[in-house]
Amino acid sequence: MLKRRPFGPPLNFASMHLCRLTVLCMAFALFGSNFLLANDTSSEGQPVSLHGEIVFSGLDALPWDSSVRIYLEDMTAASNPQFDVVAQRTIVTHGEQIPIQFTLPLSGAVILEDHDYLLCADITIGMRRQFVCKEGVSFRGKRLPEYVKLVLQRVS
Amino acid sequence: MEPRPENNEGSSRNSLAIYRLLKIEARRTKLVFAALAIWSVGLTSILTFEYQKSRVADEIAAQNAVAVSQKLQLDIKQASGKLAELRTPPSFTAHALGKNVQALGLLEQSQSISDFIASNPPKETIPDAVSLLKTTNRQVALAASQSNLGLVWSGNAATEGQFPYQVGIVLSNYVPYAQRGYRCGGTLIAPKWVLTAGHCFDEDSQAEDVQVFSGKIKLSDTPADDCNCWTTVARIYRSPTYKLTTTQYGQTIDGDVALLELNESPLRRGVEFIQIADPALETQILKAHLGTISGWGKASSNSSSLSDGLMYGTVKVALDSVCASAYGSGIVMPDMVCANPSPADACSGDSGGALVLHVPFQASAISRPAVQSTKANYVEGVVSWSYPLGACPAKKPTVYARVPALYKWINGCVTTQSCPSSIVKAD
Repeated sequence: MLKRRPFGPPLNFASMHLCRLTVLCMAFALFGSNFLLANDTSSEGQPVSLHGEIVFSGLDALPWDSSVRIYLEDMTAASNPQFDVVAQRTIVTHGEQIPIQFTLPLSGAVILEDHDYLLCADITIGMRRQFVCKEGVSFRGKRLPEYVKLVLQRVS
Repeated sequence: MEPRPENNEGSSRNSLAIYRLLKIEARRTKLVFAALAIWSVGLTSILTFEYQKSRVADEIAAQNAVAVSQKLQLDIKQASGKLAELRTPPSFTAHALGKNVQALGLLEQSQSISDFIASNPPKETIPDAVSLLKTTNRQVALAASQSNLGLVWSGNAATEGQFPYQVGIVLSNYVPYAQRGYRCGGTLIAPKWVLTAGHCFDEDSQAEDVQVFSGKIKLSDTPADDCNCWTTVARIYRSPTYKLTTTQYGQTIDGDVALLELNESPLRRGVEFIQIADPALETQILKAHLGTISGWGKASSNSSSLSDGLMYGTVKVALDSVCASAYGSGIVMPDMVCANPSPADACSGDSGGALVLHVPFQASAISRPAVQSTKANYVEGVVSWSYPLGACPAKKPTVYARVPALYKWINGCVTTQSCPSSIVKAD
């Protein structure tokens, strides 16, 4: 049985079904890949977090409303003098003294495999920044450190 | 009529063709069946493997849960044993053990481990058991902190008037809420002068930023208590030798003293000043070996906040050579003095407080004792820094600013009002 296509030569039965099968396979492949991408269980978009503690030298107390800012910088854009802060969190101490425990939640999507990152913190007492980060803790890509000890420097 | 040979020949050829076709079809069918058989065997194997794998996982989960549970019970037993060893008051031990019993009760509530596992999906078994363990540990830690064992301070709470020279430095915008604005301790060394640590202030500190309270034991007293204990500050002076140096122990602090000149004298009943150690007498003073420290710093290693009540403890002054060998060369400077926990130690919040040595009174050598008693008290050091950072008690000798080494500057400020400073903050 022959069937005439609107354009081109007529197709026989086998060729027609072969075509249908190919289209069907392509549709399945497309759908399947979309489905797999949508349900990607890799760590690409998974939320992660950095845990650690903050200390400094000296045994002075932190008043009630001292604020601790923990921030993560992307160091890869070295040409940019102001490195991108990809995540940050501010904790009001409410009487807590050092070591101050912290968790910095991150979206997995902002951590790129081939980028270098630096975790830092500073402490503000009253309206003045009294402790700053001189070194911080660095890591590359998704190789996040398990527990971080940030040693802050007194400003003056 | 004779049969037509062509037709016979043709039909036999057709039969042969049909036979061959059927044979091919049979072969195909066989192949299909064989493929189906292989597929079904493969599928069955995969299913069996997955089933076995999940069973093994379940068994491992169950074994882990039992192990965790056993560890939990072992930890509780060990914790109970340790609590008993601490020679704590019976009420505390009973309280802590009560918490353990309560934790054990949580385990018993699940009837048995097998019931516990049966009633929970395997994946949730381990986290549940772990969280149970954490709960128990938290309860034991809570019981320990509630008991105010004072692992750092040996549990010595000061009484009214016991440390009449002790003051607290609080950020002005918090006054009268001392607990919220507390920054450092300090020592009254003259009617209008407070000795404290240099690192309690920065270059931009202003005299009006801080106030000083005296004759007060509890930080949490409310305004309604009307302690009438606050004094404003006229000027802040920091030692001109104050210097921060970055080392492997964090920042070390040279010349770590500051003076607050008060607008009025806080002296009254229960508030006195104490003399500082003169370099000429230091050798004799250091023979005392044991010193007293006091402050509102963290009172236990479990605590993350300041002590509400003034605490005190004994420390053992370390020889300079011992301290230098503990830290290595170039860390401990001549204007620093060290002391080891004995068993008390300074902790976060104690900065600026005094290290006081009690010297047997000798009229010939020491002519001006501040307190008329069989012993004279001298401020030998000011609480400065310790290592590891943020840890109490410290694993190395705690470092104090050495008052005799800074005596000239302190004495000059107090007696002649001539006070060069790294941060002259005079209004």
